[in-house]
Amino acid sequence: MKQCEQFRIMISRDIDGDLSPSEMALLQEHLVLCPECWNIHEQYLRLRSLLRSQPTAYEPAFYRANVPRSFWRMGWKIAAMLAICFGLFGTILLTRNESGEAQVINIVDKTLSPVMNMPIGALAYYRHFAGQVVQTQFSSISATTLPSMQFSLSDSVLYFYRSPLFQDTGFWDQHYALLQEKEEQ
Amino acid sequence: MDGTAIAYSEDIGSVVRQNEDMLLRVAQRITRDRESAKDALQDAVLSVLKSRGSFSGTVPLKTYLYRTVVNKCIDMNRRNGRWRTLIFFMHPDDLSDASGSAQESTGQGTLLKDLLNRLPDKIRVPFVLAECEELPYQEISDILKIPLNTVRTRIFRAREKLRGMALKRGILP
Repeated sequence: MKQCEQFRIMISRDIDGDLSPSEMALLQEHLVLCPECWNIHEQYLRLRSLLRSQPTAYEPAFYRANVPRSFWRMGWKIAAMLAICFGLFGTILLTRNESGEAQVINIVDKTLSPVMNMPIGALAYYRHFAGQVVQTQFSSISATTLPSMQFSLSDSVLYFYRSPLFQDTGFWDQHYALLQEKEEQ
Repeated sequence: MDGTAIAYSEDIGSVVRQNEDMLLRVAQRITRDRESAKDALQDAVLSVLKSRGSFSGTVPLKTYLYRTVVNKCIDMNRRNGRWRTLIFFMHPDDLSDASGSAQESTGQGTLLKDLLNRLPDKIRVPFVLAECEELPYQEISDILKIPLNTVRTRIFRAREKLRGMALKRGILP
């Protein structure tokens, strides 16, 4: 009933007295023929009489709402909020670092660096408070700054500037020898 | 303050005093809350007093005041999202259960008003103005500054929605 849609908005306008005489005649004609639209017309009128039933004693539902009982009926909304809370909490729990105050990451042995000021490693310094990281500081390490850093962060730095690679196993000698052999060929 | 200004504010005072109940009722219908309604009315009177220059005199002072009150109420609704939050968290059936087992005609009326309060402002305010305040559509379109056809559609949509909710809860046969 495509045309009924058109008539329904006219019913609404008719109730508020917004129709012109010709439109009103058109609507009356339709209402006689269409019991559905007539029914809707009646329902609109009933809504109006109900809404106008007691104009003075009007108390907003805000004060009467039974909120505590509705708590358990919020269903998916509570579930969604809990999921978000757990997500945030879990993220904080997982990302905090419990292994120590400071870590030296990626130290390269200083003897492999030809220039003394060139960065040979990086240092990550985390300050913890109440189980969370409250301060992070990243700095690069070069061969010249290496001795002084030992004192500036002495209370918290786990310090290791000799890499496991730097051992007298002859590893690099063998490596260079192989390289030279390849070049000669 | 010159003579005309004083006369103007006395006019406003008397108009407000005469129509206080009506204005407060409209404000309460739109803001859904007595205290907010009082605030809105106060704001409206203040702004009318302040902007006496912009009052052209083409419409009666009462109408001008009425329009200002409605607009202030809409502003206030926009500002406090209290109702939006409450409605978000409340289950639709709570309101009907809260009104008790007394399901006679007056109870149905209150229930229907609660349902009306749940409609979004966009369609509720024009509907309230047309249905409860019996304003003509042209006036509503002037107050809310929306086209006449939009007013028609929004009122129709509000009516349809309210009818649907009422049918679902057995208020309408």
